[in-house]
Amino acid sequence: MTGKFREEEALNILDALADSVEELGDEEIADEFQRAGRDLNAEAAAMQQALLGFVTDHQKQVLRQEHSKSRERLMNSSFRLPQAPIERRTLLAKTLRDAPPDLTAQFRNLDGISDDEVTEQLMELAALGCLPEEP
Amino acid sequence: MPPDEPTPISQMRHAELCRAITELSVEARGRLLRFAEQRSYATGCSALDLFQEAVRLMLDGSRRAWKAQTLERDLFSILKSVAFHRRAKFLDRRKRERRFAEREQEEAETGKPRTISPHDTLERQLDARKRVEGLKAHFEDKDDTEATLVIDGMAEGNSMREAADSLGLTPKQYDAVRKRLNRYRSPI
Repeated sequence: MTGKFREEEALNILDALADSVEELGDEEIADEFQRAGRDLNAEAAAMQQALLGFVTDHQKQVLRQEHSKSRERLMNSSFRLPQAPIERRTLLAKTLRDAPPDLTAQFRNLDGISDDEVTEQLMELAALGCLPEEP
Repeated sequence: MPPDEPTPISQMRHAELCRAITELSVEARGRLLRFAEQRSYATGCSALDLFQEAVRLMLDGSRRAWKAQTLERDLFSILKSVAFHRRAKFLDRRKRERRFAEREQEEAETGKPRTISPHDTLERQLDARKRVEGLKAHFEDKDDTEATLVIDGMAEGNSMREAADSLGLTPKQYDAVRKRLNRYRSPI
């Protein structure tokens, strides 16, 4: 074979060279960086930051998905809330007043929250089994 | 692969896996980075892009860990798979772009102005040929027949070890050739 390669052959060689990196020992990889005039510690530190970023992004994504699923579950809950917003607000106030002491939401100022938030809180309480039995 | 990384990852929980990924040794990160850099040729992505996808696939469980694998070895394996798929897409896209460019050329010849492909920058990745030809010329100049024949073997799609085996090199000779090739690989 002459010194000329087709592109596919050239890529095969580069891939085989890449794969052989797996066999490099710690000293060999440090040596390779040094020969190329690169700072292994600095590049590894930058990579560490990138890895942290990837992992954090992934964890956030997992949390968002879980939140979205749990919200969907709550919204599909079979519990029937009162129709009128004022009745919902009354139900929430009563539930929080009668709730066990470890329910931290009981100290919130209910006048300051929107009707939508009242509904959302009731759905969450329903899912937790904290709403009074339906008549 | 360094012998002091025996942690099997098959039973790691998600949080443990996240921690282990961020606690890879400096040398392991160096190896993975070099691997990703060299596997990124003709993929249309950077080494970091390949890495990000590999970590995502590992964490969301799309690529299952082999029982006896270490984290580093698994990342090598996932990176290889990601690079393979990205390259297939890249080469396919480039083929379509070339056909498009040929049509444009025909239009230019009939008087219409020719536009420049927005992906010309991706073509830069395809200096692979130039690089490996330089590599081979280096060993030919040194009359290093073993290294030259191993390069030819790799061009046919063999791994470095397979190429050496087919030439009947002993493990000691293989290791020596591997070191010579690696020494010259640094600028690639």
